[in-house]
Amino acid sequence: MILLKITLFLFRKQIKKSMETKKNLPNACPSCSAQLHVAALHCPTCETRIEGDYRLPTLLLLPTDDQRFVLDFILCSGSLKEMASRMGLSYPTVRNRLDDIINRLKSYEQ
Amino acid sequence: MKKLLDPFTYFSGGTTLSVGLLVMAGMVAIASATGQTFRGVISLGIGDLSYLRLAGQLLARWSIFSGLLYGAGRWFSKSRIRIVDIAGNQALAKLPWLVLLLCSPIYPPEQITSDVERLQNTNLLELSSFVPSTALFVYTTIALILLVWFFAWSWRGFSIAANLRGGRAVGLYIGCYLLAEVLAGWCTHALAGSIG
Repeated sequence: MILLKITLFLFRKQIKKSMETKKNLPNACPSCSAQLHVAALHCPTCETRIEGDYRLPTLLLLPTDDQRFVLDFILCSGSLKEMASRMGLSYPTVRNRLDDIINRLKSYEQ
Repeated sequence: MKKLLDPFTYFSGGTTLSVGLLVMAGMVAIASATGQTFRGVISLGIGDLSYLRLAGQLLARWSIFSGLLYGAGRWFSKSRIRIVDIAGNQALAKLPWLVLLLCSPIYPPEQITSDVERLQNTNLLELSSFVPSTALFVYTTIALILLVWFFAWSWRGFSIAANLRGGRAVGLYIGCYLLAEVLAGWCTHALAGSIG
């Protein structure tokens, strides 16, 4: 009985973990490293499906960490000082990261 | 541990500047008590200077080096760099010198003077018989380790504050250091004899 309870507990934990796993949107082809396009969109409410060839928005081309950084930056009202304080990093470290992201976005735009 | 090895990723500006100034105040106090002086950017000398002169020497070597690094950073960096980050990081990077000054009882200035005199009086043919003391060996080893620590922190502080990396940035840092060594050398020498 105890063994069954332990097995059930572990099974539930595993399911919960798999549901919590975040899926990262891939933006580069795993085969040739070219930029991926969106081919299909799906509405989970009414099951509508749109197919076509859409380019990913520039911000979505950034690595997930950088996207998170940009989001946090906006949520901090664009204050690098507040970002630095929240992240526990120095102001120049955060500013350098932002500059790197800006350079990367510029290269995507070109 | 990470913060100790690479403090400038985590601290900058006012924090590093205030701690750095405290470090420099400590350096002046110890140098004044032990009869040492500051020459150039990285050298220590022997002399009996007043607290004011020592503070002037230390401020000169720090401000000249920081000023040159800031100018170079403004010129070459694409980021908006702040002087408080450059100056603050360079001030904190002086911590190894405080440690070296604290180690000065290992090889006190009086012993340095007597060793130098002994070496000067030694005949060139008898030079091989000059045996350096254990204290000299230990002090030199510590000084070399601390010198590496200083340059590692100083470079990292500049690199982060100015957002410059790579070979060109290293060249720029070395260029600034050499120029600062000349300017600070002249300045500290002048300060040693002109301010009372």
